[in-house]
Amino acid sequence: MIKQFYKPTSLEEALLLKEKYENAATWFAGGTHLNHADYKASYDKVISLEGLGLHYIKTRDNTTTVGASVTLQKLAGNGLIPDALRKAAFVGAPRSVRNMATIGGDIASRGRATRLLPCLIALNARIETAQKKSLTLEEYLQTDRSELILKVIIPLVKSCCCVNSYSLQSGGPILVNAAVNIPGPESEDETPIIAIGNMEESVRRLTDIEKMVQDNPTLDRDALESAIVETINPVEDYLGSVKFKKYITAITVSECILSCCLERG
Amino acid sequence: MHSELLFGKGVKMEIRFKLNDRQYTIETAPGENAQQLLQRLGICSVRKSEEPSGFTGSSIILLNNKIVNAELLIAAQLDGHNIKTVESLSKKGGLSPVQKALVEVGVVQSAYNSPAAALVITNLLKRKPDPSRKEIMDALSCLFIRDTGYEPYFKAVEIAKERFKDPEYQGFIAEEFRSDLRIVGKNYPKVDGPQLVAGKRAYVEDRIQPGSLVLKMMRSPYAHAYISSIDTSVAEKTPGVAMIITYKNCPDHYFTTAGQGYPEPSPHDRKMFGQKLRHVGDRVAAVVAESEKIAYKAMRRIKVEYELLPTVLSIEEAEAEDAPVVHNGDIDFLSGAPDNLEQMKQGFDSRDGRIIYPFPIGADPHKNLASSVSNGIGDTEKGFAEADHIIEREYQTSQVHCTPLEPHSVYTLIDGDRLVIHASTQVPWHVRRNIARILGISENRVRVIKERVGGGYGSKQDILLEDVAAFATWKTGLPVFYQFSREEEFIACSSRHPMNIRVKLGAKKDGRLTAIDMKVKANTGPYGNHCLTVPMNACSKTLPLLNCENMSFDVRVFYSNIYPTGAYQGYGAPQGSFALQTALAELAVELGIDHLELIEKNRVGEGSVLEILRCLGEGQEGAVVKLASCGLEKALDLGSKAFAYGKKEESSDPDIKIGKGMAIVQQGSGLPGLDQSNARITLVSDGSLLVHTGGADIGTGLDTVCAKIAAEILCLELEKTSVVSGDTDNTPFDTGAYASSGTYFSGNAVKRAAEDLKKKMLNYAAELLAEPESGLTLEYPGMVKGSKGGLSFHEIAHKAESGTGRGHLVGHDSYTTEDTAIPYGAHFCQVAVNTRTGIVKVQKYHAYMDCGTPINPELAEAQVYGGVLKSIGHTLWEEMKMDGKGVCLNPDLKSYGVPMVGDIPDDFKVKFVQTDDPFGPFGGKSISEVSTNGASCAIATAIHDAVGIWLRDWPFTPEKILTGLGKL
Repeated sequence: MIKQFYKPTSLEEALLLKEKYENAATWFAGGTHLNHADYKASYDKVISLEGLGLHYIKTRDNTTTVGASVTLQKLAGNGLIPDALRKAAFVGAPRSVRNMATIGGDIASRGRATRLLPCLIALNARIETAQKKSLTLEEYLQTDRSELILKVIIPLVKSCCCVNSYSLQSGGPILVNAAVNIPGPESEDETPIIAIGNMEESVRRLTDIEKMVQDNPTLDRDALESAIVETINPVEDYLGSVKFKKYITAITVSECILSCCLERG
Repeated sequence: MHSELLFGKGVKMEIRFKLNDRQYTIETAPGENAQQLLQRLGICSVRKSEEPSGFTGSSIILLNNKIVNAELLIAAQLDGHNIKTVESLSKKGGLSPVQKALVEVGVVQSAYNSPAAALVITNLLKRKPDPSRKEIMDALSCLFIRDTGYEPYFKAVEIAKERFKDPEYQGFIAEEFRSDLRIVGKNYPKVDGPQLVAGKRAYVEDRIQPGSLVLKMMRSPYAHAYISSIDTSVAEKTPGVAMIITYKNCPDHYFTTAGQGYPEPSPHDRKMFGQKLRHVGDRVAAVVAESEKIAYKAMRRIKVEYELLPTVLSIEEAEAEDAPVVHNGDIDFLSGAPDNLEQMKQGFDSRDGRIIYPFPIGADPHKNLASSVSNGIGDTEKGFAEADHIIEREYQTSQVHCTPLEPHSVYTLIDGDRLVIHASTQVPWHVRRNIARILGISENRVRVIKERVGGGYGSKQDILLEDVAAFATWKTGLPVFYQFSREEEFIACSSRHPMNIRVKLGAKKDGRLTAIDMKVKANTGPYGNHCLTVPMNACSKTLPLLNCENMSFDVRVFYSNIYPTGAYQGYGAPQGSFALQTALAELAVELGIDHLELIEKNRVGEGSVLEILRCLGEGQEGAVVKLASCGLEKALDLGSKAFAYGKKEESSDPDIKIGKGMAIVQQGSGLPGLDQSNARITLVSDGSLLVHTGGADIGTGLDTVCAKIAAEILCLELEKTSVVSGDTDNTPFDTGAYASSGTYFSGNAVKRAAEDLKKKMLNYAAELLAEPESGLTLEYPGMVKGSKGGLSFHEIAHKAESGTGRGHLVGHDSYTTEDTAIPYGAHFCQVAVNTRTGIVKVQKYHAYMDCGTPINPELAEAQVYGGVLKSIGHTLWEEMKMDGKGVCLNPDLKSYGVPMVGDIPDDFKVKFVQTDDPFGPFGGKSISEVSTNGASCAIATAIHDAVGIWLRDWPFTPEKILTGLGKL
């Protein structure tokens, strides 16, 4: 039960509160995770980000910077945001939730229900924390949970980035949420990025598949799907068997890869 | 200012916000849920239909002009913001254009989410004054609507959109019927629509008075166990606990939760609490306390030890020779005890309690057999011998759930020396009878008030929580509120019986049927409520669709430790229809003849004699019926043309295969010979009408049906006709809202009562006008006309109530019948099967329905959309999944898989095929249940047409499709 709600109006104030209460306090954004019935942890103290001015979206020097408190709806509706991320923000969340959930909250939740993380990883996005650290999403996922995310920095997309997800029905749980980035001809030094969420315990890159894509410019769909099946480790639950989950992950990811390749030309 | 100073260190904080343009400053716990806070402030329209998830949309509000879910906010998040609820839309008590449009198109039915829908659409039209279908779908994506299938909302948006430009705009609402009538068959706003869409107090939860106790149930973690010890002594000492009820201190009375006419065909196989626990979630103890928090605290202090027993989950396990016995108690019969009763009782365990059968239903509980029946007409063996071709197939259906948005709720209190029960029920009179018996008091001391019902679909035909709340109030003298959580809705409520149905068909080469045999095995779960009647309906609402001289059926129903089953819209017919209609489609393929041709050769029509109904009565002999009305011919004709049925469609995407399917469906209109309805109509002093009907309007518009029928017969404006219903003190008896009885039984009772009042009015007017009664007529609006002059209803009422008058004029009558009015339909669909993903998209679904005269066309249409979409949900997505220990793995709406707006067919259409039934009121027949019977068979057939595989167990998940295609 939340007993104390702090609404700091400056970053300094927020950090002082966090320093004072340490793990007894948690950062609080839209509340869609912390107030959700599935959220089992309990905090006495929460520190709201509402007054910290993190609601901006800016573009400068080939990067788009998104404040941590930007909602999924704002993200989905903003032309400065890469199409893939706009699409990812739209999937699996009704408008009422999109109006509340934030990009920072989505990243910080690190849960299986993330909507944005695979896409942000594929976009090579970095986050900047209050401790002035600049981290890739993968680095962030390995950090301490109390790091306050201030902004998400998305580099200009020179490559082709696609997202694809699979759910049994429109409002149902997302079984797999995939994002793929295939470098364009002008960015030959970059490597493909393939990330999936929701299917396993945590979001991760399919590095073997990335290598396969890089090494084989002419991709064979069957070989790709077989390789993906081998590389993932889902568990059986009410949504389906392991065999089914491997299969649909393979087709979801391969579809995404092939769409990217097609778009890239 | 430092936030800590601003908000304090304690558990209370002061927040300021604007709510519906009024400034509020309140002290609250910062973590208080915002939905609960708004309720506390008297905003009852912001509701809770599930634990906080943002899925259902019941708690939707506007926060700074953005749609959000209040359930996902805490009070502190409201601070400094501008909040609007649906109350902001109703200026000076009137409805907004959006609210009016929602009522007009007939979507304000169970209405638990209607206020939220009004807010969502208003917000949409402010953002997008001319929204596309995609934008409307996006807006509606935050609402779960179970009753009206989303499609009519698009019409509401269209009308509201135009009304913002032109307040006088009249859009097309729904086709109207019977040009010879003024009110019946025409679109009129549902009589309780304005109240519900405005979010006024209407439901049980809106009646709670401050200081009421709450009841919370401790439930079994095990599927099958005895309570070996239970100690509530420490828990009882928790401050604020009023009472704890267990099997040790509850009434020693056995009953069935099924709300059926007495004597019920269901066995009395449970007490309020038993020592034996028969499913995960079975009742262990009820804690009655001053608050939820105290109740849960006390619950944690109850010490229980269990003796675990092996579980029985499937029909196969239940019928095995050495199966654990779910009901191993003593057995008794109120009538018709079999000769081998002593043998049946042998080896009973007193910890299992008792089973009392009102009459025999073919049960042998110590073998887990809850009921059985077999019968038939003709000679099926001979029929199969005469067949050129025989097929035999087995179909399985899973456990699916009613999912009413308003959870089961009850509020009980003492008034003088009487018990008052505010219930969300389909069966007020059965509740009264059952509760009086459980408490051991006479029925005159119990009053049941049916409040507005936020969705029932059959699940509120069972008396699932009224007994324990009533007992708590009776014992403590204090008001008690009890409402299921969403998880309790799944684990402690009734659901559709899983069935295995074996169908054997014999036919000549040309497709003419020579014999049909149906063998139904059903899983009734832990208790036997509806255990005979639901599985029988798998046959009684399917076999009579076909002309075949030789038909037989065998129904066997088994106890198990799955979650409870019971009544659900369709009541066994969806399962039976899936099996029989799909088998017919399979037969057509094997015979190499057109599916539609096979149906046409074998279906019934007007004048058909339904011999099979003789042996399909509910616990009694049935009656052979000569079919007086049947719209199947026209329905099939319309559907086959609209779909170019038989013509193959191709997709440009090689992974997509398209197929078409269809099915014919039927239901009943109440239970002739069993049901009864009564009505009373009073001519009020000013000449208006007050209709008292026992009928339980559960959101479907029965009150509107009754008002329209009374107004039509008595030639008065609908606005001058009010209805009081479902109150056991103030309205006459009615068996209740189940078996599609409302329009037929309650409607006919009102019709007769109106005719009685008309007769009395004419008789008195003849005396007043000094004219012969035969020369007088009623004329609209509210006049009696004779050759010399006339009298207004007001004048007649005034004279009747004067010092020299006859006394106020009241018409009354009851309705019972042996006549049957069967609604029919033909459902057609087109699906696209993605052979890579396994996903089935229903592209097109049309339901051509014969409900006689649709009394409320727009409400009936919306109900068909709702029924069809429910059954599409059951066919493709919905299923209660259990682990090997009987624990439900998906007890929430999102995981369970209810359809949302994004799941509706692209082309979704309902069309009524009007027939004039001689027995229904103004030719009206039932509508809501019949619409759930077609989707599974139509979709199964369409999938086969698309990809050549037959799916014989619902839901048709992508995993099953992919397995069938050899992809897994």
